[in-house]
Amino acid sequence: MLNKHYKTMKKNCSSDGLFNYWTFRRKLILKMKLVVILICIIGLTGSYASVYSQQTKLDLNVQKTSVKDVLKQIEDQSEFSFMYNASKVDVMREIDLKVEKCYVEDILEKIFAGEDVSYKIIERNIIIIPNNNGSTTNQQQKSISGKVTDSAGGSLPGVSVVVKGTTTGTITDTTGNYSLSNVSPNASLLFSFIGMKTQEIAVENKSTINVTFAEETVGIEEVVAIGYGTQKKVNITGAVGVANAERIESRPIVSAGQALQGLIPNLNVTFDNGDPSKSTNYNIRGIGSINGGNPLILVDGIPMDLDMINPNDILNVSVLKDAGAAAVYGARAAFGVILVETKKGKLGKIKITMNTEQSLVQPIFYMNVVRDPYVTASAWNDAAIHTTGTPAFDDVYMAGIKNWVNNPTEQNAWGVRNGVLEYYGSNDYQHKLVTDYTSQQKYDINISGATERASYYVSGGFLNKPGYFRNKEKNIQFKQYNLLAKLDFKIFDWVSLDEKISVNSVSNDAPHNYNDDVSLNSVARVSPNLAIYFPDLPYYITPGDHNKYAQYIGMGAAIGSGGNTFFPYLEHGGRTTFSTDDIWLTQGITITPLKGLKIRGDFSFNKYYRNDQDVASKIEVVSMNLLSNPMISNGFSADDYIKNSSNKNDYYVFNTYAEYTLDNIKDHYLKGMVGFNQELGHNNYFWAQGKSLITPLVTDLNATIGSQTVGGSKSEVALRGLFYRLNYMYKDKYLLEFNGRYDGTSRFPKDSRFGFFPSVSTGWRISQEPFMSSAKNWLDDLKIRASYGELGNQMLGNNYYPYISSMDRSMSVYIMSSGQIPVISPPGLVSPSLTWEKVATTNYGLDFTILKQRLNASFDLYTRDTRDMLMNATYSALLGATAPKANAASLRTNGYEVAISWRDKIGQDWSYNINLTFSDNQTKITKYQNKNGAYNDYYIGKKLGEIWGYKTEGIFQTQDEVTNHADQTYIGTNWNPGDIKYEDLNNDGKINKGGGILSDPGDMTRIGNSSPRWAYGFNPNIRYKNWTLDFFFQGLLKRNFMPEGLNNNQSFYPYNTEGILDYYLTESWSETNRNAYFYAPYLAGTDKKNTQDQSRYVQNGAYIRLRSLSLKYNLSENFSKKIGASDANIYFTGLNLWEHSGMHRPLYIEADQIGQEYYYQRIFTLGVSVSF
Amino acid sequence: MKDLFIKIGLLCFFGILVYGCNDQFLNRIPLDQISEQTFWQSENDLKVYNNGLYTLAGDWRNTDILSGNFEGMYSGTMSSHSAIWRWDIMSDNMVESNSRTNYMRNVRAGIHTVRSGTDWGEAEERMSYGGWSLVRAINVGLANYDKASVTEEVRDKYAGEARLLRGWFYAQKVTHFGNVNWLDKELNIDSPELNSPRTPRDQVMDNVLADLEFAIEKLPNDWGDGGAPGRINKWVAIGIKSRICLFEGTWRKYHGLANANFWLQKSAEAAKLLIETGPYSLYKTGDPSHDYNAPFRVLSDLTGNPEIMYWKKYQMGVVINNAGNSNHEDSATKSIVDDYLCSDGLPISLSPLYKGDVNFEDLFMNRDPRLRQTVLHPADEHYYNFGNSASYTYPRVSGIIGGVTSMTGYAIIKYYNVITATNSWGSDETPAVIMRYAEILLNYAEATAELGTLTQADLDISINKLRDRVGMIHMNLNNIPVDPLYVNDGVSPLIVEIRRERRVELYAEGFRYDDLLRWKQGKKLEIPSYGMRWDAAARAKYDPAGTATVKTSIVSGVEYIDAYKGTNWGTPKFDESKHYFWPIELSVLSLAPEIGQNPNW
Repeated sequence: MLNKHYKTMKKNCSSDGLFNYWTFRRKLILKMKLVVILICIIGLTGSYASVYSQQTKLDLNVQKTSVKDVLKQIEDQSEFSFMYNASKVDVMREIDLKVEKCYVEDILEKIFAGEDVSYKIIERNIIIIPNNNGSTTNQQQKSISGKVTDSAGGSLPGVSVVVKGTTTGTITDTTGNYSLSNVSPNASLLFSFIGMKTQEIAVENKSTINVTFAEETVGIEEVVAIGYGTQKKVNITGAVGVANAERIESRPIVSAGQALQGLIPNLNVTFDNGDPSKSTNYNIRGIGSINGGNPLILVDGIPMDLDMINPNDILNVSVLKDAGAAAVYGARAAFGVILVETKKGKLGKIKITMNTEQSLVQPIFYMNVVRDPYVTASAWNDAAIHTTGTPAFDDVYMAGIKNWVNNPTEQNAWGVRNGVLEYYGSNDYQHKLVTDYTSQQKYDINISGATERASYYVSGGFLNKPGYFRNKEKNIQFKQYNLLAKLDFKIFDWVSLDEKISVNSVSNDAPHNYNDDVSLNSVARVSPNLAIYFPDLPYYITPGDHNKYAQYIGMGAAIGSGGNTFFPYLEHGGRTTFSTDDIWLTQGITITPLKGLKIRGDFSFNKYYRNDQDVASKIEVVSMNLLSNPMISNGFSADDYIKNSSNKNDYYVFNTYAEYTLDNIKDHYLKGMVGFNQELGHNNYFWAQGKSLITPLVTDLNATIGSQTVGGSKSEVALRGLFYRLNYMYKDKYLLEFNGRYDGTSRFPKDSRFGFFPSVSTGWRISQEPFMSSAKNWLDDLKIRASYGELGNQMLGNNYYPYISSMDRSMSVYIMSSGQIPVISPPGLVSPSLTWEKVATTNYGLDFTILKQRLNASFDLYTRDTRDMLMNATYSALLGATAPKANAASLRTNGYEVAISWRDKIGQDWSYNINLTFSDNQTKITKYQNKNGAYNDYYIGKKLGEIWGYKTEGIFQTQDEVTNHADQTYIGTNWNPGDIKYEDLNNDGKINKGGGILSDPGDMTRIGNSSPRWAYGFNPNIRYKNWTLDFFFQGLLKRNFMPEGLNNNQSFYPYNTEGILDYYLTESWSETNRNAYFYAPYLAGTDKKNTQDQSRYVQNGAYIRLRSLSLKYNLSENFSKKIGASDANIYFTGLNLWEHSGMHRPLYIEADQIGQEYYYQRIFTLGVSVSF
Repeated sequence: MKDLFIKIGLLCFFGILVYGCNDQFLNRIPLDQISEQTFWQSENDLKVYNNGLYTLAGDWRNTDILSGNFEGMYSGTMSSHSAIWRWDIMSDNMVESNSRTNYMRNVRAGIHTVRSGTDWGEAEERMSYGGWSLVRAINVGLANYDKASVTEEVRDKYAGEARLLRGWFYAQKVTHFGNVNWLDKELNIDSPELNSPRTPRDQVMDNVLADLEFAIEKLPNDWGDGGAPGRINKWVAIGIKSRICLFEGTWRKYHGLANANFWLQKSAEAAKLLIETGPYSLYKTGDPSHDYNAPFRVLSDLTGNPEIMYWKKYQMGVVINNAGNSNHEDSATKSIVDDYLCSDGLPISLSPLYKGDVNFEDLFMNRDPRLRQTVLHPADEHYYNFGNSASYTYPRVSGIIGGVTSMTGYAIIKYYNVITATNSWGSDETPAVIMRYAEILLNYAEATAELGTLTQADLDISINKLRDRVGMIHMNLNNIPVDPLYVNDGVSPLIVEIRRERRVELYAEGFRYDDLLRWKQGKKLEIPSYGMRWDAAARAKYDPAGTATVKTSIVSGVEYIDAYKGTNWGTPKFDESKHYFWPIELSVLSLAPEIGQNPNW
């Protein structure tokens, strides 16, 4: 009986209240028009739930039946539940009753006519209370009242409060208050609330008992999503990492990827750069296959792009790392599964939370470009003299600069020589182009709640994230909109329906990239000595010619052939824009027809649209040579065009599974699950390009007059799988689990299309053993586990038909008369035996919880073998076609991971917790065909990430040293003091790369490894009263990085780009700076003799970073009340506030290149969150 | 009702499980691609397929035969350096400063090596024993053209086109590798041909000739496309035949192989046929000072030029090149400048008209007018708007600040166009001349001279036509000068002069290196790349600021620029025992050792 009450007790929620409330708050949220729609939805569900007792009519016809049974009949017929104290209310009294279509109040009126009882209807709960307390007992009875709150201080309505051992009880009202009369001081009160741990408190002589419920179930009671179901954490036998909302919410993040970085050991999240429109890279446990292979990411059971969802909607994340955990996902789970669960409405009062974050975003710019043009020009001169014997700039030019530096007027900034304008000033390029700070705004609102028959969660989010350009009008604009609505209806006790609508929309608007020389990248390339604009001078060549050149004033300067600054392209050039709309609809049904049996089915439907437009309109730049004819050219924009493309993808996911639990056999627990999954995708893509815009002002294909080209593609992919899981537990100690999947894909030929991927895992909860009972007071849980399983990898990128030979159509670039024409290529060779890559994982784990759940730790050790990897089989070149890939390579990844958390309280006011994660993995090639043994290809025994290069012996200090050293002319000519001295590893008197093969590597050797090693996250969190301080450090203990030295424009190596960075001046070799890090100033140009990959410049990429720092203040209850809120928080958070690494500037820890495309950023955020 | 629900639910659930075993759902075939079964129907199919052969043949990674001025689809390091004229960097004609041409400069200096492992620059791919995807595509086409329901004539037209490209490809491979694996059908991974030795030269060349003659017979005179650039017609095929047979004939003659005359005869016949029946003539507007280089300076379109037999078009938005805009100081050598005759038809060593090189401008006085249309005369700066600026003194050598510098002082004007030279990267449409009528005339003169049948009439319809255009004195069979410079070449003065004519006329058109090989004159590459006279007087005049970075050497007591002095290419070598062939890279040999390396590599 009592049990049943828990299940059905829900709080009151009147629609009137909601709408009054809405009016009251209207001004505050008026701007968020989106919300209106959501409110309407809520309004409907609210009113459905609130009028139950006024709507429900009942029929009864009984003779000589006890009141108790009558009430029981009412319960059976309806959703009402009765609560009464049988010792106080005479329910054994027999009555006759016949009513038709009567409201429950009228029926009760009849039943209790003449009895001295009253009743209270709280939604579907009816409490029957005797008015007369009857004869008092010997004991002194007393009244008790109090308030029930959640951990954040919010009131909890609908909590059941029952006197232990009786049926006397009540539930808390909408403000969380309750009162009970006639309670014995010897009694205890049981406070229970769905999803939370029941609390028992002795009455003693207290008259007020306030109770706070912990919001999360923690420790050994924790339940974890494991794919088509859940499992208690203590009973998990596979390797599963978990992050809950508590840990995700504490950061001012704009994407789910940022939220997850560093949280779960061996879930490696990386970003290509700071651009929010670029996708995040996820990896679990290291490199899975030479062909790539990413984790399967499922949001509420369907494959979604995590970048597209609102991180505020995430409830928790489980990461299935090994085959033991992931096998139910079969062929896509070889490299792990990330399960994301979004929030749901919680039983309780309607809760509206509004959140805004206003941020300052500072680009992390690691380049200190020398801004004094004289210093820059002198540095170039020194380098040029050292390289060629002559300076780069002559005396007249240098004198001009000197003059400007001494007297920096606009007049002095310019000179004309031989009819060519010369610029003597400093253009302050970086600061003119890039702003010091930009802003970022994020707004979220969510409304959630639940009645006993329905729950709802709706949220809306908006993110505005501009780029870094100082030019506001032309800045990059990234915007993201998210809408999520989740509704659950319990239509019968044994059938519930759930719907989910998710609409995610992203748009981006950025300048067209005409060339890397004229993009944000140019910050690293453009010298401060370059002119940006055509100047306004009194005269140019001869007095009086001002009018002739006036037309060019203010135009962007063209320097040389193509070397331009970004400004004219930014200011007048075209834009690259895209917008993406990703819409998901899910309908699910859950049936629990029998005890222990649950059948669930859901169908999801996705519409994905992406529209891109790339406008490369013409800009004009003016020659600095005043005698040029013509003066105006189009720089990189001569070939102007508009290209539009459109993706329309449909995706269908169907899941169904049945789970049967058998837990009523003594000591044995058995749970079986079997299910089916089917997915189908249609991809549709087309593009159209038109050349020659009529005017740059009209950017539509319709307004082009040049050649027009179109193209497109269509494809389909289908997946189908049958999966199962079987759990067996004996005495809660011995755990055994079988998982598996029989999976098929359309990507493989018929005969090798299906694969069976089983796994088995087992665990032993040592702490449950009798012999461990003595440890009970400190050991909460101790478990060891092991798993083995085989999974498949079908990762073939976008190659949907790898086994079908087709004749590709493409456009010829060989002109036949005019324009592009289609060509058909000969059919390629395909392999008829193509099949899955197979991935076998062995995992050993240890979990324990000790010291009254204060310390929680988990260790995993694993080996993952990837076999039958597709590789390019090599045949004689005479074959004349790309040989079909063969399933012929293997690799092995070994690794481990540790997660430790500690939580404790100090006194009443202080509490803290510390989370630590640590992980490592290494991958080695175990099988590969590399006949020559080329070291820059894979070879057996190769550790992935190996960096090959020369060993640097040092820097030549004297000419004698050069003469006596091995012959370096294979690398470059003209070796002098100040140049790099490479070690002659094979003592052949020559410095070269030999055959480039392992047996003849010349003087090349392994000089480092770029694989990230020993990744850690360290997350202390301290609470004091209403204050919460959260730090999150994250980093790597080992990694090498080799700056790219053989291409141009790598600003790391001195004098490789036009700009001079401060350290070029102090860290380059010279007679007086012989211990310098870099070689003597050298105009690299195309001669890369000193910038070969070599040990000297291998960077120590280990780092530590303060990923986030957050200080949160929870406004006191009284204050919250004043503003009508139940909860209010104000917080400051900083993202990427500090980092330290061994990398030399301007290299940034996370960048693989000196990427200047879009800097990483420090984000300072002030956030306010208010709940009602 | 509950029971009913449960029954339906369970039924559905198990129904789905059973349905799941049905495999049709997973059968997905491509929605946007053509398969072999649906292709090969109409003439258009054949045409569209053959379009792809041109694309493949135009890819420098396969072969040079159509590679033109740069293939816009590959933005690699080759981009600006595959222009046809830059092939002369491999010879004694031209020097260049960009490291991207190192592989060509290495060949020029004889320091190229066998490529091994994967240490394989993109640039060197051009010299690889590769291009088999073109051969495969041709062979696939030849095996399938029959399927189309078209007339034999139409089918043969496309078959002829394919075989022409195959023959040409093989002839070009033979040029640098000697024996080459002949493939005439599509291979699969189990074909024995993958691991067989190379086919002997004689046999390959017989096959080449058969391909060419088939093509000449079947190709149309005109594709009906209004003389558009693109498809190769019968006349071009004949021209290609004259080129290939001349190479083969002279190679055989000077390298001591049999049947030289057979090939020379074929070359002469083909050239004669073209001269007598072909629709081409030299480009002449009556402006002898500019008619010679004008076709090379056009911006984008050579349509209608009567001399241009085959050219490759570039067009903004389709395929562009960077041939014009990247000034890497390409410049002419003293060797070529000195090879121009004086206006009396005598070499500078003999002519009284030669003014010497003390004054730069004197070099051009009384010389073959083609010199001034090849190398920049300081006074022509305005005419060419050289450097898009009107205020510099030329010549300007490396290191001098401002203007356009050259490594030797001999800036090349033959291709110069100010628009393309100052265009931004990636916006150049300079057309590539792959075959012009002048070459046919030179092929004819050379083949007949080598056969010993050359008459004055032959000269008058060939070389003297070229000389007429530029206002140069005729070559007279009865008055052939004997240039002391070449008396030790082992050939007659007539052959010397015909070769000189070829070098001068076809300067910077990519012929010189291959010509030296077939004449067995590799030793000519051992002469360093000198430039202009750079003595104290020249320094004072042209480099008063003293910033020039050029190095010099003393030649016959006079100080000349030595363009590569002090670099890897400073003292070029030519090893007679191996440098007439290129090495086959180890990556090819390791997978198919039967192919075998060329001698002494």
